[in-house]
Amino acid sequence: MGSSRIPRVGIGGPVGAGKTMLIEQVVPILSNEGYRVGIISNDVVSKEDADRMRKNLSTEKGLLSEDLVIGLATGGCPHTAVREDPSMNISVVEEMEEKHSDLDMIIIESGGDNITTTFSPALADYFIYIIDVAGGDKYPRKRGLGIESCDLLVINKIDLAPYVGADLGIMEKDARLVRKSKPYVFVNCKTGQGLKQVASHLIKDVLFELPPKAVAK
Amino acid sequence: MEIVPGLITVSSIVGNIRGDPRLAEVYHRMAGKNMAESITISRSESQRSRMRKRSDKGTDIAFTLDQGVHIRHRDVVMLTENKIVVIDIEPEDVAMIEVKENAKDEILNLGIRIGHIIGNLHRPIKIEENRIFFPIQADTEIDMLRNLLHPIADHVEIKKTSMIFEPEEEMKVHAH
Repeated sequence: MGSSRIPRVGIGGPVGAGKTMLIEQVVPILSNEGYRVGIISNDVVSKEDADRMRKNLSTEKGLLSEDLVIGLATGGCPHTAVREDPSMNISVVEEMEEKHSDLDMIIIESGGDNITTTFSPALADYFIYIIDVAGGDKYPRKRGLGIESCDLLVINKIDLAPYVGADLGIMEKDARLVRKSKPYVFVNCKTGQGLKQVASHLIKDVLFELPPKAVAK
Repeated sequence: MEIVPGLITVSSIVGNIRGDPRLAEVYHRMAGKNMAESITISRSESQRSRMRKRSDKGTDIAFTLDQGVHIRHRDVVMLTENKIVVIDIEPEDVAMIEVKENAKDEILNLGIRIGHIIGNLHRPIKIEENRIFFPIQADTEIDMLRNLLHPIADHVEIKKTSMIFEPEEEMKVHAH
């Protein structure tokens, strides 16, 4: 394997599920463990998510340099840019790998999309799909390629369950049924609840529990 | 190579027991001594270059393959004196279109129609004699296919089945 290849994590999910916020919560946990992360954020027309993450994670928290948050306005259907033809994303990933060979992980955020979003295996090594309880507790049961095939299913906004009449027990039972042995995590990106578990999955299955590159040197 | 305790790094494929009689013999000999292990992955995972998987007997493997290397069904990914680890690709739901004997005079019409429809769905295909297979995501796709192929319904048999789907390699299509 080319030693320049940096592990890549794809994050997909419907509009408003909390993809950007998930990244804003997980990156500080990984940073705290010494891992350096770069972010590529896809959006349809704007670069708002990337600008927000840059302000939060770079400018305010100083966790990564500003050029490590890149916004990509894909136009059209967001899933095509991460699945059918990921060439635009791959070229940005490769440029980041070349300029920042000391990174431990690159996170690629898909634009908000429908339930069939998946990442091309050529683009991402690991795929997180995020939904939220406000979408209804029947969401996992209704399946869809993203929910079924992702490596980790994240169910966000659990604090809203009582307000939207969502039963977390049903969601958990259905998630277990649809996902078989594959993992799922309930989180609240506003408070950070459950986010350490998400980071643990990434450290175990994507980073193989290896020490951060900066430490390994 | 072992960095994390118990974790084995695999960066290349040893071979495939379907295409290598010598390796097949090694596999069967070791399987007889209870030294064979398997890792079951999906077709989508078979295209990955980096992942962590556990065998049925608990061997913890970190794959770091060259980009573009696809893992095949029955690939040997680890071979030591007392252990052989083989990949199994999960069977998946597919649609099968069987072209009937009575279609001989209609073959051009049929071929173009079927090719056009599957092409529009951007699916990979597998051809075996007079049968065409392609992956489906839901049973409802079979009904959709029957509707689309209605004009040639007398000449084809359409049904859902399950198989270890290995697409025709020379036809590069989008991976839906």
